Amino acid sequence: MIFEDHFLIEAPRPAVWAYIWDPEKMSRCVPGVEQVVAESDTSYSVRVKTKVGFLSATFNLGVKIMEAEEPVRLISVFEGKDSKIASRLKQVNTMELVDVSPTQTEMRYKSEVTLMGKLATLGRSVVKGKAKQMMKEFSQELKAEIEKTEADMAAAKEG
Amino acid sequence: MDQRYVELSINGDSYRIAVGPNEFLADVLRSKLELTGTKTACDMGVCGSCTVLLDGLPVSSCLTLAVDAAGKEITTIEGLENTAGELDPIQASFLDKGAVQCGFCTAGMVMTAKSFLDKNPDPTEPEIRQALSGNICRCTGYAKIVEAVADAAKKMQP
Amino acid sequence: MQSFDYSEAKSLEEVVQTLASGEEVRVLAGGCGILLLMKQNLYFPRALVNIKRIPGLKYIEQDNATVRIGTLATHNEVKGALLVEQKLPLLSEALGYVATNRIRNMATLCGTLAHADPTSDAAPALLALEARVVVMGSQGEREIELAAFFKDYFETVLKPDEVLKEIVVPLPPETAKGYYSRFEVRKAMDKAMPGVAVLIDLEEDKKTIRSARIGLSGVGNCCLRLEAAEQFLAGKEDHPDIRQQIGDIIRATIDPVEEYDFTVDYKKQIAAVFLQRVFAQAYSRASSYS
Repeated sequence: MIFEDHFLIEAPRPAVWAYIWDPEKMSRCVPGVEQVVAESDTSYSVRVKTKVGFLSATFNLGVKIMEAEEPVRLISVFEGKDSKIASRLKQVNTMELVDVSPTQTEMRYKSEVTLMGKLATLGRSVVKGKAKQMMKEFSQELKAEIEKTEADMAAAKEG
Repeated sequence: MDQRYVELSINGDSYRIAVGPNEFLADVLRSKLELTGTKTACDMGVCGSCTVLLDGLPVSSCLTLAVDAAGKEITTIEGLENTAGELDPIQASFLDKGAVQCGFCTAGMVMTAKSFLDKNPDPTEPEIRQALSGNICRCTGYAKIVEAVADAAKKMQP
Repeated sequence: MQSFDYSEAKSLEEVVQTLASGEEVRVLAGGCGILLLMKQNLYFPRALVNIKRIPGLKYIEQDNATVRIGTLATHNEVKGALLVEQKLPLLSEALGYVATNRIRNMATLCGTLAHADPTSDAAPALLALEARVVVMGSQGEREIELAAFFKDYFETVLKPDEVLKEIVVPLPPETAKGYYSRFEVRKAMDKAMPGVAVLIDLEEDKKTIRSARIGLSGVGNCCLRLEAAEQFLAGKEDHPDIRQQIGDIIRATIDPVEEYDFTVDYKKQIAAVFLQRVFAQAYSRASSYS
């Protein structure tokens, strides 16, 4: 499954890069994230609980930064499984940042999601529909967090 | 899980057995009562090979909890032959028409046909096909099965 | 099959108490939805409360200008009830498409609504009939319009301690006629993609639409009413332009997800085709009724 989207963030590009370069910060924006544990500077393990109605899955994912071309492009991989429901997930995220103005950055991302196992048989349209929703939530959360960080920093400077 | 005793009335006989609330009727029939005529294939209620009658109505025994079958009249394929050991007309037609290959779908097909013909004794061919549309056969291509049901219907008419 | 805490309730009040007693308790009615998911190791409720031993919940009866359907009435019981065949034929018609006869003997109509499968066949018909559900919980009973009942994939507005008590279907005027159809490849066990139910009531001239009600399934994350098209159709007559426009409305309104070879555009196109076909048939039935 491929998801693509783009949105505007009210923050300068270096600030956006600083945020997404930090896997811990990025992981926290994932909907349903329960726990984030650092393994190294560029890798984290994350526990995410996803709900589809009354069904739920808890994925233990490793998050790794694969490629980084500051401040333009970042490729990260989320990979892991939920043994209880015998399902694996691999998500390769390519994020591109475009300078729009000194205080605005356009984020373009492309997510390739591969889901295998029981959850994939639930009905691909349900899985895809839910994943689309989660991508949207992730983008909104990411944008909100970056803008908040930026606003806090600006306030601190003035204070 | 706690086992509990249930009374199952199967083909007119009463069985008192211990079952867990998470056990399905299909598995209890086959494993605990050795009534292996009823088959399980998809185990999901889709293929129809596990079809039994509960109070005359066809259900998927792989999706029916054994505890829910207590207090009902359960009819399995073993219950179709009469006390003299003669086959039910539907079973006989299946054999006559060559509607049995591997035999795995057969019990489900026959039970479904039995319940269908009880309610619709003079069906058209499209009606027979519609009635059997929930039972999957991988061998015969269905033609002989439809013929067998039509044949049984004719035989059973007064 | 996995273990779970199991109890058999003797009344709906007891069901509510059990639901409120802890986390991850679910009602077990026909079981065709949840037992299947449990068998496949996709769902792990801590406890199931079986409601099938509660007496007096299979009623299908007329009460003034409504039909009330009790929570344990199965699909086939509702489909074959004389009251439903005569006064709610749209519902009987739609129920005939559900799964297969075996499932229809086991699955309850209320259970299918609580399961909130976005590809249901029963839901579009009940939506077009403007059905309501009566729900019982610790806070008492409440009535919910079916159009406001479904939230998302397999998700309703039911609170964890609530159980469906009955479906209330207002009797449509005798002049109102409907039709249900869906895109399908097999005769049984197929998924609605889409499923369309249309109920049309005409003015005395038998041409002008007094009211149109449209229920849809298989077009997104839940079953829904196509209110934009309903409003558009009021006061209009059947005409190729009108059909074209409701096709445009559904294409613009629904948000399907691509699936195997079915692209989003294809799903939208086929939804438009089925809406137009079902509308035409419902309109024809209404205009030829006298």
